[in-house]
Amino acid sequence: MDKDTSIFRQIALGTVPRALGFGDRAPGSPTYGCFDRAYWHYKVTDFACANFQEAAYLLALLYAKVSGTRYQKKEPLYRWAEAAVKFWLSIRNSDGSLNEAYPFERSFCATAFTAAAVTESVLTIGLKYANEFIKSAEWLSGNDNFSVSNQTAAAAVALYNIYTLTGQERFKSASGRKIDHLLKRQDPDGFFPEYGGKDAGYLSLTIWYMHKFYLKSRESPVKDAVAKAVLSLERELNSRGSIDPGKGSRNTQYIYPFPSICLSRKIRDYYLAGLGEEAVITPQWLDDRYCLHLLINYLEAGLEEGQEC
Amino acid sequence: MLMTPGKLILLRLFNLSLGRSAFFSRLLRKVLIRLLIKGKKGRYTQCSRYFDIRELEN
Repeated sequence: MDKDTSIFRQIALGTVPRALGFGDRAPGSPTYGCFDRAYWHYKVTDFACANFQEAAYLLALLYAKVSGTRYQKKEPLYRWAEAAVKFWLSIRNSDGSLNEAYPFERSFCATAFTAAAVTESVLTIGLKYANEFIKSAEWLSGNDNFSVSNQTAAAAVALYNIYTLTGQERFKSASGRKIDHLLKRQDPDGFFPEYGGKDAGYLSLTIWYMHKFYLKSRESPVKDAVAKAVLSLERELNSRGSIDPGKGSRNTQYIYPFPSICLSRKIRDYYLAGLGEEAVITPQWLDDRYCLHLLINYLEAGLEEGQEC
Repeated sequence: MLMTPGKLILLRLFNLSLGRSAFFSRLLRKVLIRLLIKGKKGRYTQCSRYFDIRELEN
């Protein structure tokens, strides 16, 4: 399928300076590498929200993958990416889990998504970390939140990455178990349930992580499931690329366009039309907490090379 | 000086008791300004530490 991804790249690169400002970039600072500005800068929260450490992957993408920009191969980005990974390692609970909303929360969501992001970062720029992730992989292997498919898909990616880094087969098996569960729970309509129902926004997020898993594992049942899920997503999108939040089980307001725009001409056409009319929610519209995640998605959509659709 | 759960508990106890009074609320503000902003090396400035493109040159 032809790609017209320049608009995603343009929007993403326009948002990057804002996201870089989230981080403590001062070496020697006790919070060097922390991307939760409310914690390290404003000092109004009493713990660092782990979700902001997904910035590690944003930095790695900018450093290594996004060609022809002012960021490519710039050493500070490499150092900040490593600092973000190190800070993530330092804020884990003793069991390897992480916190999103309050200290000692042990959030499956935060652990799954941030472990996936920091390990993607390590793999993307070749940082020398592997065994440091074992505790988190063990925690993700032993814990589940099957009523929330997107988190399960993120956990599968995190575990697969940690298997790749450590070579420990037990994490590949744990990753496979999460995926098997998702495949079993896929609705005949094609969606993966979120608290028992269909939610187009979270479905697009699950598609993103299932697709990542497929690219790593090459398991054809996953590819088939993603294709079916994309058809289900197609049915929820209006011609301006947006969804009806009132219809979803979690009332999500926006979708993650990548990789669905590559797997469905209809989604691509509708979403690009929405972007042209400024009718879809982009990373620029979101608050700090969710901006990073959608920004990374846009950046992946806009990658010029090395991206398989 | 980072916020910690202990400090936050103390702050909230103050906010919900003495802090209800305008006098004590203003007093707390004065103490915080003295502690965090005035006469401190590397003093706290809210509108700072945003990304600057020149950082990529280092």
